[in-house]
Amino acid sequence: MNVYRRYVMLGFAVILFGAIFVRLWVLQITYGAEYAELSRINRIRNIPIPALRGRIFDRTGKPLADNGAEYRLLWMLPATDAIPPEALERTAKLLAIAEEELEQRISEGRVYNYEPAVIASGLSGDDVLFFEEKRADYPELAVISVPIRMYPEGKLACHILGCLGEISPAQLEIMRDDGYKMGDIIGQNGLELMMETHLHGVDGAGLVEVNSLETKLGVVDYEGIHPTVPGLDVYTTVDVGLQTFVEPYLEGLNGAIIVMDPGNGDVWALASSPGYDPRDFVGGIEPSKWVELATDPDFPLLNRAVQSGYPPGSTFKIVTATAALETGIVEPNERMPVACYGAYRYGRWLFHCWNPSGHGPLTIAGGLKNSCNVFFFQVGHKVGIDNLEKYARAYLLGEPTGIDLPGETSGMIPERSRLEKRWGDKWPRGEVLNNAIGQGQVLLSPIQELSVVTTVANGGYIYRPRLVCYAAGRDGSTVKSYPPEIRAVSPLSREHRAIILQGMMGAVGRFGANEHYLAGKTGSAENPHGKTHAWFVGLAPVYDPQVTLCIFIENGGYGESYIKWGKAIVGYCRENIVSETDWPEAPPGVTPKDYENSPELLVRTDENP
Amino acid sequence: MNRRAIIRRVDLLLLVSVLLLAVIGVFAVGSATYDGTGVPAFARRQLGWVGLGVLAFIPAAAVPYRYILKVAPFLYAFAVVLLVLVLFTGSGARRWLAVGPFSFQPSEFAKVALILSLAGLLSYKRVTESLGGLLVPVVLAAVPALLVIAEPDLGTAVVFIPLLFGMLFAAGVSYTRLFILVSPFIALVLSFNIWLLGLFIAASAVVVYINRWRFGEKTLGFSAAGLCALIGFSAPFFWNMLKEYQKQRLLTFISPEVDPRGAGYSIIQAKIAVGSGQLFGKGYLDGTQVHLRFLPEPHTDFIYPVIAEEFGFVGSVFILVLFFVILYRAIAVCRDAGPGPGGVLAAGVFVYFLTHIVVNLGMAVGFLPVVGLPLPFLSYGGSITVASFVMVGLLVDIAYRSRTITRW
Repeated sequence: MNVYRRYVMLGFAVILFGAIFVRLWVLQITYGAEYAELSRINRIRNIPIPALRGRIFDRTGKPLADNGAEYRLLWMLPATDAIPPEALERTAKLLAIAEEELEQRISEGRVYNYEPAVIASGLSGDDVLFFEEKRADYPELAVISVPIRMYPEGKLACHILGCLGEISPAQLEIMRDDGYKMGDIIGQNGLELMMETHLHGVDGAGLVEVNSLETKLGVVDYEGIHPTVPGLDVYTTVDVGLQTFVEPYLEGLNGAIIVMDPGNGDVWALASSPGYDPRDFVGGIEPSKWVELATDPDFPLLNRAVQSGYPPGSTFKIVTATAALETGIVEPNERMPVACYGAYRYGRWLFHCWNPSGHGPLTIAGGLKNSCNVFFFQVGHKVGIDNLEKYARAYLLGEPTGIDLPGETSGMIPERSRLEKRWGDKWPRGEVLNNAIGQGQVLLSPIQELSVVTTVANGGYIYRPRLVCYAAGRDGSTVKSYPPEIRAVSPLSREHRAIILQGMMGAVGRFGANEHYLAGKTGSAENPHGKTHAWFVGLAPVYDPQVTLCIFIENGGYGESYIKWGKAIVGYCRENIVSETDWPEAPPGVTPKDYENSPELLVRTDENP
Repeated sequence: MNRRAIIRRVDLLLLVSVLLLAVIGVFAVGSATYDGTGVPAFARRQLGWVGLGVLAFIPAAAVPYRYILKVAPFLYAFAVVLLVLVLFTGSGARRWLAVGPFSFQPSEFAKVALILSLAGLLSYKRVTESLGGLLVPVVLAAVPALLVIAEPDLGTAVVFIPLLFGMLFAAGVSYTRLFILVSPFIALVLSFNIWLLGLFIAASAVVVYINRWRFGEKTLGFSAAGLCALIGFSAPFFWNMLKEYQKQRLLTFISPEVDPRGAGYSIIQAKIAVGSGQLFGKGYLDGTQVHLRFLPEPHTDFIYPVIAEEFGFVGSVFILVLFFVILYRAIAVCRDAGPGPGGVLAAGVFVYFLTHIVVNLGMAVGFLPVVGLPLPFLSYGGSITVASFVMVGLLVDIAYRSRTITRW
C-alpha cells in the first residue's frame, strides 16, 4: 500500500486516540477530584420501578393471576457505614429479636452494599401502621410496598399459568433489545411465558434522594424520568369452576384431563397431575424446593396434557376407522374375513384381542363399539401403513396442535419412512397391525387425541386449541385478539362420521353410561411402565356436540373405568357452562339406544362439511 | 520451516495484547454484573465466548488467507441470507438468530464477510479505477447495511460506512473519486440547513470541474453532484413521512439530549464514573458508579467506564495502549503484505477495530452520542468476541505469509 496512505490511516488512529487520552486526562486528573466528590455525594439515585404485570382472567372474569402488594421493612443504612450501636439496640427491641439476629438479617437482606437491606417481608396491615407511627424515632427504618404476583386460586391450573422466574443470561442476551435488564422477573412457563410480551409492562425509573448521613429517604421525583406502563391483561377461555371440578379427580394420580368446546376449540379446562404451586416461584424459588420439583420421579413440572406423547391405544381406532372408510377400502357394512376368536394369526405371529373369548364377526361400528382388536388388525392390514399415515396427517397428527402453551410435543404417527430408516427394506410388516390399534410407533399427547375427537364432533373442522381470547389494557381496550382458528378441514364425510359416532355411542352404551347422550372411545394402552395407560375421549350430546373431553391416566388400568368421570364432567358443563337452556334437546322419541343401532339418524343435515 | 522459524513469524506482541484484553474483559464483565455472591454467570459465559473466540482464531490464522478470500463471496451471500432470515425469524428487535441453545447476531458475521469480500474485490484495477467500477463495492456494503437498518439497528449499520471508505482508501482509490462517493452522505448530514447544503453542492461541482482532466468521467461526477442535491433537498420531505417514534429514534441517535428515557443521564453517569476513577481508581469491585447501578448496561456498552472507575487513569490508558498495539500491528501488516489483497484485508481489520474502539470509547467519555456498539474483547457478547478473534487471526495469517516482517 502507498506509504502516505498508511501514514494517513495511522495518523487518524493517533489523533483519535490522542483525543481520548486528553479527555481521560481532563476527566480523571484535572477534574478527577471534582468527579470523585460528585460520585461520593451522588445522592440522586435512579431506581427502577417495576411495572405491574398484566393479570390473567378466566372466561367469566375471575382472576387466575393477579398482583398484590407486599410490604417490606427496610434497614436504610448502607453497609459501607458502621452500624450505630444505639440504632441496632432500639430496633432489636422494637422487633423483639436479639441484636445478633438483627445484624444477621441486615447482612443477609441486601444485594448491593449501597442499598437498604430487607429485614422483614410480608408485613400485615397492622405492622405497616405500627412502623409508620414509629418512623420519626427510627430513621434507620422504612416500609416500602413492592408489587408481587398473586395466584388467587393457588395451585389451580398451574400447568396453564406456568410460573415466573428471574431472567437468565441466555434470555437476557436476546431480550435486552426489548428493554429487559438484569434481575427482571419474567414468565418461565405456561401462559406467563407464552404471553410474556403482553403481560410484561414497561418498567419505570424514578429519582430517589439518599442522604447517607441523616439516613432519610426522600423521593425526589418518583414517577420522574420515565413512568411505568402496566402490562396487558390476558383473557383466557378457562373456566375456573370447571377447572376446580376437574382437578380433584387427578389427585394422587399421574394424568391429564382436558375439556373443550368443539364449536371453536376453546379449552375450558386443562389439568395435569401432579402439579406444583406457582406461588413458590414468585420472587425466586428456594433451591431446595427446586431440587425437590426437578428430581421428583413423577415430574410435577411436566404438563402431561401437551408436553408428552403416549401410546393412544384403542382411542386411535377412530383414526384407523376414518382411513378405512374414507379410502373406501372397507365398506360401512363390510365384515372382516376372519371373525374374532380372541386372536389373529399374521404370518408366524399371533396377535391377541383384549377379549380372549372373541367377538365374532363385526362391522366398523361394531368394531369400535367392542373395541375389537382382531377386527382392526385386519383393517390395518387392508388399509396399509401409507393410508394410515395419510389419514393421521389429515387429522394434523404428528405435529403440535398450536395450543398457547410452551414445549408442545409433535407426537409420533405410523410412517413407512421411519420404519425403513430403522429396519431397511425388511421392516416388520406386522407393525401396521399394532399401529391400527394405537400401539407400536404411535404416540399422541392428550391434546392431540382431544383434537381428533373434537374434529369428529364438529363435523370436520380442526381447530387450534385456544387458551387465550385476547389481551387488553387496563381500560378494557383490546390490544390483540386471538380469534378461533381453523387449521384445516378433515376429509370425513357425513355418512362416515355417523358410522364412527354410532360406534362411539355403542362403546359408551356398552357400559350403560349414555346419559347426556355421551359418546366416546376408551383405550387401555400397553406400555413398558407397568399397568396399561387408561384413556377416555368423549363428546356430548351426540346429536349436536357441545363439549368434548379427554381423560388420560398414566398406568390407570382400563379406560372404561373413567367413563363415569366423563359423564360427571359433561353434567357439570351442561349445568354451568353451556347452561341447561342452551343445551340442545334430543329429537323427540329418539333414545341413545336408537343411535347405537341406526347411524342414519346421526348424519348431519346442516351446511357444515 | 522449523518450529522456531514459525514462532518467529508469529506476532507474539499482538497475541499477548489481545489475550490480556480478553482476560481483562472477563474480569470487567464480572465486576459489572457482580451481585455480592460468587462469580457472576455473565463472567463465566464471557469466559466461554473467549474460549470460542480462540477456537475460531485458529482456522482464521492457519488457513492461508488467499483461500479464505476465495470463499469470501459465499460467506457474503450466506451473511445476506442470514440477515434476511433474521428479519423473519429473529427475536429481540430481530437482531438475533438462534442456533440450538445459542443465539448470535448475523450483523457481526456480516461485517467479517464484507471485509473479506471487499479485500478480494478491491485488488481488481477495474473496480478501483473507475467510478462505475466503484459502484460494485458500494452496493456490496449497502445491501447488508440496509438489512441491518431494517432490524432496526442503526448503530451497527453505521459501521459499514467507515469499513467501506477505509478499505477503498487503502486500496488506492483516488481522493477525487472518494470525495464523490462520500458526498451524498455529507449532503444527507447537511440537509438540515439549506444554505450549507447549497454551498456544499456548489463546492463539489467545482471540485469535479477542476479535476475533470484527471479522469474522463465528468458526466458521472456531475450526476453525483446531482444526487447530492436530490438527497439533500428531499431529505426533509422523507423526514416528514416518518412515523413519530421513528423520528424519535433517529433524533435520539443524533442527539441523546432529546431522549425521554434519559440517555443524556447515562452519559453524565458514565463521565462521573470515568472521572471519579482519578489516577489509580477505586479498586476492583469497589466502583460505586457501577455497583450503585448508576451506569446502565455496564457489562456491554459501558464496560469502559467500569474499568476507568475501578482502575483509574492508569488502567484506562493501559487499555488504550493495548488497543493501539492492535491498530499499529495492523498498519505494519499492511506494509509487509505489499500490494495485493493482503494489505487491503489488513486495512479492513484496522478500520474494523478503529471504528468499534473509537465509537465506544467516544461514547464512554462523552464525546459521542449513545450508540450501542460493543467494545471488542471487553464488552460482554459472543458474536463480537468471536468476530474480533477472527479479525486478529486474519492479521496473524497475513503477517505470517508476508515476505518481510516488521517489528517496531
